[in-house]
Order: sequence, then structure tokens, then C-alpha cells
Amino acid sequence: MVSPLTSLSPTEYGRLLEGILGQAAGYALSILRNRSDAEDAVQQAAMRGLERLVSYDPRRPFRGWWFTVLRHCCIDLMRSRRAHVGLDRAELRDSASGTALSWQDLADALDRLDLQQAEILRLRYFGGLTYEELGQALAIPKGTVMSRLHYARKALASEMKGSET
Amino acid sequence: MTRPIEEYELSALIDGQLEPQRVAEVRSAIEQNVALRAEYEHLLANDRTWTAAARAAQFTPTVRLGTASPSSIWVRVWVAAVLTMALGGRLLPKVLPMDQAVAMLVQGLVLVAIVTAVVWISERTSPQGDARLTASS
Repeated sequence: MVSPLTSLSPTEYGRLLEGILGQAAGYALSILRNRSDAEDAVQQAAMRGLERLVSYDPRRPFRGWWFTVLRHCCIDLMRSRRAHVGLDRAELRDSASGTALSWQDLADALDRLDLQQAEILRLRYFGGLTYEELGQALAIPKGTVMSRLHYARKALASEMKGSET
Repeated sequence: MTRPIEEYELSALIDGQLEPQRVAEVRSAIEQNVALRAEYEHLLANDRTWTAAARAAQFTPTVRLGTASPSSIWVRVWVAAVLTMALGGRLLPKVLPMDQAVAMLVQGLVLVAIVTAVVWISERTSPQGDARLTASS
């Protein structure tokens, strides 16, 4: 019997990755707030995922697994480059358009939420993960995803309303 | 009898994550209940705003995928072997009595072995099949 853990080749991995790079970059940017750092995080996650391909079970959603790798890379980068973040955020804000809600406003509001709520919303909106993928990335059942996401949305709406006043 | 609508099911409806039968029940409840409809519309409006905002953060990164290098332990083993050969080639003619011609032959063979090993190691440790990825969407 062939183990399902060995059925994804590096070529297939590259192909799967190619389809999610835009969302991965957006997700990394929402955490790191710096385009260059976000690109580094995606690059690191791509290589780390390749090295750890054996830990991926192809029966489960690829995106849920890979975003876990990316999240850890973002956290590692954020810790190592924390000093630069403040300056880059200020630069980004100056260049943001003044219309509607910017991604920076959304990311700022997420930073003010409870960590669990912020993470599920970041993965949902910036990462574009489905409920099944969210369940895999956060290691929680689908029912928990459903309720946590809903209450996180309510918290975010309340946070944004509060920051307007 | 239809079970009561849970508040989080409104979110799941927006995300298209409800079972088809439950979708009909929740939609029917939204039609009939003004408060529920207001809550649903509020959630829907926020979802659209946040989705659009988050999409604006996307960009196209360039990612390079190289074949993973062999484990560092094997590189260390080969480096140690090359150093041993180099040292052995120097010491052997001094330890064992031999003609100058034989000593030169031994040193020549050791040199060839070292060059071969260095070439092999450099081939194994440099990225191969390097692929450049860009976002397809």
C-alpha cells in the first residue's frame, strides 16, 4: 500500500503553490506591513514547505497546510525585524488611497482584536481560506470555525465602529 | 419542525458553507424576521467591504524553488574525506619508504581524487532544477 504522505511531488507542489501566491503575499503583507518582508516570508515558506513536503497529507486541503507554514515564517520574520515595522507602516499609510477602507485599516483593526479572532479573520480575508482550510490551518473542527469566524466578525465590526467615533 | 436559526449561521450563509436544506430554512427566516434580516445585511455589507480591502493587499511575489540540498551531515562527511585524502597524500611518501617516482604518482592520484570529490560536492550542494514561480491569479 502506498502512503498518501508521499504522493505530492516537488513539481506538483510548485504548481499548487503558484495558484495561491497572490493571496499568500497579501496575507503576509497584512502581518508584516512591508512588501519586501512579505515577499521574503512567502519565499521562505515556499522553501520550508518543500523541505517538509513529507508532512503534508494530500487528502487534506493544500492551502490549509501551506498557510500554517507561511504563518510561522511570518511570525519568525516579524520577531527578527520588529524594529523596522513601525517605519514601514508609516510609509505605507502615507501612500494608501483615501477612499473606502484600505487594507492597512483592516490590518490595523485586526491587530487590536483577540489573537484567535484576528488570525481566523486574517486567514479568511487576506488568505482566502475556506472553512475546511481554516479548520486545517487552525487545527479546529468545522463547527468551531463557523462560530469563531462569526463572533470574530462581530468583534471586528464593533472595533471598526469604535475607531470611527 | 425547523430548528431555530443560530446567529453564526448567517455568516455561514454568506460564506456558502451551509447545507442546501439549511440554506432554504435560513433564507426563509431572514425573509420573515426583520431583526434577522438587518443583522444579515449588516454582516453581508461588512464582508464585502473587508473582502475588497484585503484583496487590495495582494501582489505578485517572485518565488524561486530550488531542489533541497543534501543534508549537511553528508557534506561534512565528504569534506572530511577530502581533507583526509589531502593529508594522506602528503604524509604517505614520508611514512612509507618509496621511490620519488612512486611518491609523485601517489600524490598525482590523490590530487585527481580530491578534484573529483570537490566537483561532486559542488554539484550536490548547488540548487538544481531551480524553478521560478509567479502568481497565476
